[in-house]
Amino acid sequence: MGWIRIFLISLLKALWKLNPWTLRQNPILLMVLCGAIYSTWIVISIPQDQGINTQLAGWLWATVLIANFCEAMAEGRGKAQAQFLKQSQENLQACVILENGELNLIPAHQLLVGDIVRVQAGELIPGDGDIVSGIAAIDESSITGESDPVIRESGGDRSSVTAGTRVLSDSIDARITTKPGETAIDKMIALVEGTQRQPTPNERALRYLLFALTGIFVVVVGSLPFYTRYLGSPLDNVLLIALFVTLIPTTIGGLLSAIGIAGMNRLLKINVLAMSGRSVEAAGDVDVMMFDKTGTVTTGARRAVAFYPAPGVEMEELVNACAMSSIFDETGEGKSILELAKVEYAWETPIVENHTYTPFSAATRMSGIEVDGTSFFKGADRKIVEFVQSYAGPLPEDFLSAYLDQSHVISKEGGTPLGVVRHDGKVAHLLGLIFLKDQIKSGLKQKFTQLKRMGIRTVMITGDNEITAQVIAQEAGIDDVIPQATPTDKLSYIHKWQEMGHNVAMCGDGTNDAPALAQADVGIAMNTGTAAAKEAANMIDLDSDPTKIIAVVAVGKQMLMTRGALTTFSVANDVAKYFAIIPALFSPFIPALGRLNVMQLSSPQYAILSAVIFNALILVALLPLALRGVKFKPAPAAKTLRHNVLIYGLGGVIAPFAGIKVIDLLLKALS
Amino acid sequence: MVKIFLLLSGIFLVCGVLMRPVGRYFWNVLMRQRTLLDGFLDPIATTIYQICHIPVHHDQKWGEYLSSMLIFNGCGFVFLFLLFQTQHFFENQCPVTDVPCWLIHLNLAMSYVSNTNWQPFAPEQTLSTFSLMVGVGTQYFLSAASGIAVAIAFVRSFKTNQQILYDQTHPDDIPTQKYHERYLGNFWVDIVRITLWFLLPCAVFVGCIYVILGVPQGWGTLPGLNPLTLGPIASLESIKILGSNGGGYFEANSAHPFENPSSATHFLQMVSMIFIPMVLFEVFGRKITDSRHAYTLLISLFCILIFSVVVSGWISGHADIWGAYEARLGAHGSLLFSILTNSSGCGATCMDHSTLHPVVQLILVCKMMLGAIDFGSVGSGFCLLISYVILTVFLTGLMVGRTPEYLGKKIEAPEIRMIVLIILLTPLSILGLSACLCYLSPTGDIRSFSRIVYMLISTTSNNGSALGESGIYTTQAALWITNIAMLMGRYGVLSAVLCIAGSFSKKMKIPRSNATLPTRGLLFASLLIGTILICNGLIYFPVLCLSFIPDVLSIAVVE
Repeated sequence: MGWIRIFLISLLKALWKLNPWTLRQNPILLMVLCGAIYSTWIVISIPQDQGINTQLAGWLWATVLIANFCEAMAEGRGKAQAQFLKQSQENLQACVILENGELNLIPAHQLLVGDIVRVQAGELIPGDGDIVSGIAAIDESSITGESDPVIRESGGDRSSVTAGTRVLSDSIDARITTKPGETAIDKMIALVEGTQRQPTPNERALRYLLFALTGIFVVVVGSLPFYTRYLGSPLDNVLLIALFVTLIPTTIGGLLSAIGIAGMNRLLKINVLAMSGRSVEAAGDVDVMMFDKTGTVTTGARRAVAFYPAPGVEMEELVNACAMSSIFDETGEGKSILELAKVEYAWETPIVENHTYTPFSAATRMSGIEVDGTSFFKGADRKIVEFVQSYAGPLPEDFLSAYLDQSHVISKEGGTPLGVVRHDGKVAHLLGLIFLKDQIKSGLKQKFTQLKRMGIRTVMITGDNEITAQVIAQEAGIDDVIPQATPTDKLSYIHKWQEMGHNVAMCGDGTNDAPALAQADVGIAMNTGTAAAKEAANMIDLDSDPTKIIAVVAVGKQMLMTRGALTTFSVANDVAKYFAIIPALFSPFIPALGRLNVMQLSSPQYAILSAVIFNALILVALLPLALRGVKFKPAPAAKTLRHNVLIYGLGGVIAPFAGIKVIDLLLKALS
Repeated sequence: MVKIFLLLSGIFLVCGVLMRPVGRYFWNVLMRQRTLLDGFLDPIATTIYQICHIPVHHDQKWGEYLSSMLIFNGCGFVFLFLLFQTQHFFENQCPVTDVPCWLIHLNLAMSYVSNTNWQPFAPEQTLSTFSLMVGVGTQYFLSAASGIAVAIAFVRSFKTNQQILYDQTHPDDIPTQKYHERYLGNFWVDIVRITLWFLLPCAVFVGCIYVILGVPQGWGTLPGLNPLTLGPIASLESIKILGSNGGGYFEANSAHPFENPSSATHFLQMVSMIFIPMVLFEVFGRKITDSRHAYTLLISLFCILIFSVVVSGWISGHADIWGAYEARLGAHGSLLFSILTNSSGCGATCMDHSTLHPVVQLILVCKMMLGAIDFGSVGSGFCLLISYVILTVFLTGLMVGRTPEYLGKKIEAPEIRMIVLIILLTPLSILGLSACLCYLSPTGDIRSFSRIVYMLISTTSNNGSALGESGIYTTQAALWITNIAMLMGRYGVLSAVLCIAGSFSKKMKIPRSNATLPTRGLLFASLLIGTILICNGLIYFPVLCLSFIPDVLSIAVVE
């Protein structure tokens, strides 16, 4: 349904785009249009039999129309995609809190930056902003497609809300940070629609080249009538125009903007908003990639894998203490401790009454339970030692060092050590350590190996100490780590690599990531991140999935590859067209050239007509490729190159020979 | 075939052996390091620097380098033209035609300055011995040196590595990008050093061998039916070939027994044709500290050369058409000489090219059409080759999904704009100007059209060889048009190349990675060959179809 509509609208748009003012941005198509107009004029002005000239003129018009249609089609698809995102933002009402505290209901498009709005449960958020007070569960399925609600609260890095998402519980006050109509989605729609589409640096270079190719063929074809005049036999102008149109790179010229739009479109499909075409292209050049450990490399939840009793402590006692401290712990870590105790040490859950549970807090950095006067606590290794010493006085030297050594060993293996203590009112006993291990996401190693084969260096940003970070990096196949990273560390790391000529991509979400995001060549902000981060970044990931940076790089590379492949194909096509048209054009007065008719085309007229028809139809045949993009597999450059040169270079030489021959046979059969 | 291959391998053996030591020496010369000849040449150079007020340590930007080159060549042109114009005070020399004498002199001056040496009139009848010695002889050195200087400046631009500097004290600030400009060297110093340290010793050495082998060097007239004027033939001959100039002392050029008396001198001439271009590749490899890149290019060129030699040798032998060659030099030697002279942009001829087999003629014209990149006329051919390399890297580099780069320098819009200018200029000159000439001339047949095309390809690519005799060469229109073609072909290309060098020198070097397009090795070599052939094929196929190809095809019909 949607497809048919896009198709019909594109047809209409293709007609509209025939006007020279719109076409001026595409000199190649403008040339074809001029050729079409000129040949039509010849056909109309000279009434006698025109032979194939009428058909030629028709196919020249078809070439321009088809090229226009391709562009309109790509735009239409992009727009449909963006419209889907935008739909949720239409007809929103905003409840603005005035300075005197009164509430005022206005349409969302009248909102100004800095306005504070109140959104109740069940209402839609009227504009992009930051929560200033309150906490709420928000359904963001309208932009991400994920049905799980997310929690947003004021302060911190999880305070940003997006227009069109629905508040499910509670009520929040949010400050509008973006003027409606200038949000990320609006920018993206403008990019896709072409109103703001600036040619990217690489596209500009390619345009120069295509322009020059066109210029060369103007000279090549333009000089022919002088030569034949010197040799004493004039040429038919319409045939010359046909030769010219088939030679200039109409294939890539007609599909160039479609490729750019399709690139944006593919980003939209994976729920990434790009703020400029330039950043998409830069993504293809990225060779250093930075990301946070938590959420990207590790699942965020750590699992207990072993217990290490302190000297003189029985294993059973330690296991019991560990399990007891975690019995009401709802976190993944706590559950994993219980599981380990049950499975490995056959610990059975006792019936517990009269207990008080102390959950983990940033201040104490411990959690535990108190049952019948005895407490069991687990927590950061050093915190536990402090706790014990505050009751039992300084611990024996060798006992402490054995404990700390063990804790060091755990760190070295990439784990987090948790100390465990039993406290019975007066005395505290240090019992041992729990080995909590970071869980590296499954399938990550292959992903990083792929990146390595693409020549991309991976860098992990983490708050962990250097040893732990290195171990995790080694396990996941990451090249470098920035341990205990501060915002300055991140920024200077990016500087360092950029200075050496690398292109750096980074994803982040916090306000403190903003300088680094702005400095990176490709900065991807998570949609859950703060407004500052989103402002600094040049892409926004609506799903807030840091691993998506890999997909973004792939889209960037794919866009460049598609351009390169189609250019090569377009140029390589000319070889066959020469062999079709040149003998047809010159053999009347230089019969020897008839031998160049290697395709054995039936007649000179059909040879020229077939070449022109092939030239127009190849645009349609390649449109799906332009929209879908050349297949991208992470592989070393040499391999990709060999593959693509064989398909698009050699294929580009051979395909038109077959195509023109088939069209010639069809024409012969039809006549 | 076997004979040709033996000859060819002999030539490459000599060049290959000499290439490395001479390359090392030349590199030292260019890097202003100590060399053997310093004790003797340093005082001379210092005197020249002082007299001409040359700031020796001033490093030039591309604009300065370019304007120095243009001024230098412009002065050379004016000097030469005035010299030719005033030579009638000493000896009255002007061929009897309806073309004004000054136009002939203008054309000759342009042709010598631009390293083309297109000589539509017999030089021994047009120029005095004094003009040949002082004017032409000097220009033989200086035009070659100018070409080499530009090539060297281009190579230098790959080496520069600009770093982004940012204020260390405020790492939170987004850095402003400041570039340290490091430039292309100094044109004047380059010219002096290339001429004195490199070209002069080479020419003296080769010239001495010529004298030993019997090339005349001295004044006088040989009595006889047609009295022959002698002159400093050996010394002119050595730099004529070494500097890929190719304009002979006599009209018969290297077919003349004075210029090329025996097969030994013949062999030496072929060696000197490709010697300096090969040395330039060695210097290139040294400069970018990766000889494999240079050898990749060399091998690609070698493939094209071998292909053309094999096809020409086979077809000539098969049809037993060897053309009007000098018995003294041999059929095989003459064929190889013709191929090499058109490959290298030298333009010296030892036989009448128009008598060769049509297929060989087609090959000769195709080789010239490539713009002498195949072992390059000194300097400019190398520049053109690198331009094609950049184009190849751009086209194929996109296909690996990364902004293309060559030797760590990103290829972006400004460079492509210049490359585009280069690949647009050549067809504009060749095709556009031959269209003009066709328009200005009365109608003719395919043969005379072939000569027009050959003439414009020869002058645009600064080769200078001609396809037989033709009245069309000496018309007033042809003289004007070849003037423009030589100007565009030489200075258009060199200016664009220096502009690219300027923008490369401002870029920082990107480190290699797995994702970088490999620009050495067989894959790249074949891509380069493919791009060169397809680009030129697309541009020149129609015009060749009207000139050289019908002959080839009709011979095929007869067989």
